[in-house]
Amino acid sequence: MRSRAGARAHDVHWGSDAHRVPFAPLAVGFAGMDDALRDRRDVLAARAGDRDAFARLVDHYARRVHDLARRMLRNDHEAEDVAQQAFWNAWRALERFDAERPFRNWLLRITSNLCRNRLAARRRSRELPPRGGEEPLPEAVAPSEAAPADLSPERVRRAIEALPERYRLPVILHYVQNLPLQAIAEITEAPVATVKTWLHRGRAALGDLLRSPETDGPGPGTTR
Amino acid sequence: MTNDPPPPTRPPRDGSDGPTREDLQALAAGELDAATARALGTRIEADEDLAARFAEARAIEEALRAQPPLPLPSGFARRVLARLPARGRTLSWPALARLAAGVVLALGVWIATVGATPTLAHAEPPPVVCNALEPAIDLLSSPTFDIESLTIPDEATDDTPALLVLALAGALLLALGLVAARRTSYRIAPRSPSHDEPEVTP
Repeated sequence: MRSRAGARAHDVHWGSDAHRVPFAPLAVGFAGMDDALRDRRDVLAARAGDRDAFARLVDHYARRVHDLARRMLRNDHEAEDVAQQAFWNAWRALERFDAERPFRNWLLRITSNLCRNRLAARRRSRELPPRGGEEPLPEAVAPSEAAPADLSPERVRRAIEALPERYRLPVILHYVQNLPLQAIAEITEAPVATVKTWLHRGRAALGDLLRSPETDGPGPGTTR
Repeated sequence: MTNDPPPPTRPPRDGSDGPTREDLQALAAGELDAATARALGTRIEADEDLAARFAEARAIEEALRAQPPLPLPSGFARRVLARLPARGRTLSWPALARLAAGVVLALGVWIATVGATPTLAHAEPPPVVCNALEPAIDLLSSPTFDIESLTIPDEATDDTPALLVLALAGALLLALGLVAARRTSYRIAPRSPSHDEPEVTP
């Protein structure tokens, strides 16, 4: 279960106002409502052509969008491209967006689809090996039962980025972006039970990766 | 915990056959139901090895949740906003198709209902037209001219085929417009196992 401190830390990371209110569980709920109302107001204004309103949406979600793109694509330049494209697509499609739905989920869905397209294009251009089922774990080494996991933030980040694409997205959304299962289901357009399965398998793969000695370098296309 | 090879089917989650690493991670993630978690917790308390593995699973869970966001490149928002096109006053091609369809349909309906094929029979031609018609008048008045050769068959004056074509064209354009509007409305392609499906972007 998520600790109160953990919830607060994430909310501060992602720019929510939750940390201003005591009692984190309630605060997250109030902040969520505030965010939803603010987003709806800004979406409606942006739809009418108000660029300042859209600028507020960009300010609020830029970090999330870029973070997701960067972790999915493992490439700084492509991440910037995709993140910009996601906002551009959102701007163009605002009129067709149902303002009663969470803007965050819609924007992250656009972003994740752009990332998938980019990864698919990479596979087609043979930058990545073609995939029959899942991507193999890079340089997979059988984890040792006794080996303690290296849990430094950098190692954890690399392990997340090394996950197969199918598990990487829900793991990033759940653990890094602190989103609930329902939101992840909406973003991935999958049932909640499927999301749980992905998380379960992704967590198992992460455990193996973190227990394995790290023998590979950065992932394909990574620029640091 | 035994050293037996794992059974082909997933062991029960209460750990009666020895909890798997996945079970411990699920427990650390708070995903097990209360009864299963309690049963597993009892086993963990009684088994030092299990307790150590559970502690590691919990550490992994906490490390994942503590993952800080990556830094946002400076000037990112400015670059996004600089790239945005002007909004809302240009017609997209589906809108144009719908507009064209409407015009064609309106024209078809007007012709069908009013039946007012334009005629100049009673209009006074301007002088320039009279001058232009002089060669034709000369031709008509020549003795070798056979008026019968210019007779238009009766069925050619019937507007029905033209109206039908207009109506069909209108309906086709309208259908195209509607289809285009549906295809370009922002819908995310359903997720497939390979994630290879192209995105439908506006």
